[in-house]
Amino acid sequence: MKVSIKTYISNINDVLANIVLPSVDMGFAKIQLSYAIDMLNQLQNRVEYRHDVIKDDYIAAKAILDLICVALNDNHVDIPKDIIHHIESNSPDGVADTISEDELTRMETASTKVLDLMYENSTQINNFNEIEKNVLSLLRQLTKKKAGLRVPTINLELLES
Amino acid sequence: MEPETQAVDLTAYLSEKIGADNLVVNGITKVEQGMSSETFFFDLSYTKNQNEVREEIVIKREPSGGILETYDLSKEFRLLNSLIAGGITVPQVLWNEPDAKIFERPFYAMKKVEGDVFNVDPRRPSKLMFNDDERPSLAGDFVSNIVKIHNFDWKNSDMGFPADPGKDNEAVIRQIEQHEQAIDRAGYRSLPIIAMSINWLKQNSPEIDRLSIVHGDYRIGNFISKGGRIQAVIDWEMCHLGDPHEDLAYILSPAWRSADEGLVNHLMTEGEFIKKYQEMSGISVDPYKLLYYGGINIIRGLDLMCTAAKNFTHGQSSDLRDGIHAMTVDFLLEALMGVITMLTAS
Repeated sequence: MKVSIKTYISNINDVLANIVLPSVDMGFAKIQLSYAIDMLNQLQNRVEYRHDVIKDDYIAAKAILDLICVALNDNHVDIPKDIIHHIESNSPDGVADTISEDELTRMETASTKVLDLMYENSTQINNFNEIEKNVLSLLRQLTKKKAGLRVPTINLELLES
Repeated sequence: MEPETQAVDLTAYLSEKIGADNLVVNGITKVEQGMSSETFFFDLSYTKNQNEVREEIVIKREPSGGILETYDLSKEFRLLNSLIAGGITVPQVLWNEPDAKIFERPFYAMKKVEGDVFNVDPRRPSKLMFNDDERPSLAGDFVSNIVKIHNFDWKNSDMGFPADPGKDNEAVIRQIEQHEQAIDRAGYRSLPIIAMSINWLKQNSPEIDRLSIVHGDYRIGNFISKGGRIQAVIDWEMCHLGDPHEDLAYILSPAWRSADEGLVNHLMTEGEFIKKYQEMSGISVDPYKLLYYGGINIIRGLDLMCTAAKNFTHGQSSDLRDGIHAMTVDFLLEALMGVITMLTAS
């Protein structure tokens, strides 16, 4: 689950309009703040999470699912029926550019289910350590990509000086 | 701290509790820095035994949102009472009030501890706190308090909390499960990174040699100091029974180090801390356990951040800091991957 962009904007505006704005005395600052609130409101229905980021998450979840399902199958561990159709869905190369957040959630949930299953049956899986290492490698690649999205935190000490 | 106008008049209630006449509430101030339970300072004037008294008391109230799920503050009240008896430097608690009608939610009262709290933001490097004169004595107090906490004879105390989690590594398994449930309720358990890490940590938990009281949030910002001495260790919301390495991994975390010098909690080097701790506690510090509990601490951080995200999404919190906490989840996942990678390699 992610907090939606709509929720972020709505909550930011709620605090700006009801808590910050009434305590701003300076005319120019008050006007700028009210325009910022208005702009954020207008943006609310125009922005969404980046599709390439959602797609990366989806491809990683799908790759983990496929990897573990092969291992489970090879080691005669039953794969739940509701997972099967996720295995049969697109290969990572064929994933559409516009994966929805709901599709991602479904794929991540399926991937998590087989991960849990893999650990429940770890003693039954011959090459468990190797599979675990490969899963870890996929997850590490994903977190590395995501690190690029972060920007430095605002420095309050500078604001206060 | 920001002044807060309270619609609730506690004059009669406080008069009765304190046994005072002519009590006047001169002002109420709410501490804005806390992210869990709410803290209020009550500035009081009253007459008692024919003496005119002016004092501030502190009221800690259960949270309505924030990073912790609703919890029973009376446990913390009992815990503090027991810890005082065990010689640990904590604020002196006065009474517990379970009746939510008095002050909107249950709370307990304690005496105000004079001194300063030095807070740092774990998301960004912070300049060195404390001056060179007070640092050595503060460092000594910092180590001796955590040693007293870890050596506290909880079995023979009357705290009634935390519950005995059983033997061996059951304490850590139970702890992981509690975090896992909170993360699940917040909707984040379905992330593959979290699923994999939780499974790994459960399957590879080390034996606990000594089951101790774990403060759970022992760091700069959670003690009050004055004149180079720690006057009180505060913020016991995360306290539980577990392996002392959990506190040690948290104390040694980069989040609480000074930016340039890398001093642990702005007080001493990592080597100095570990040497002093081992000498004073008799507990041998195990590097593998430090790494493992570094992972546990990240899972705990995820519990808090995911809960904050849930509260933010469902309108249970109008605090924008909870919104940023939701975004901190990705950062913690990256850190978690780093720790799990090192653990699997060791």
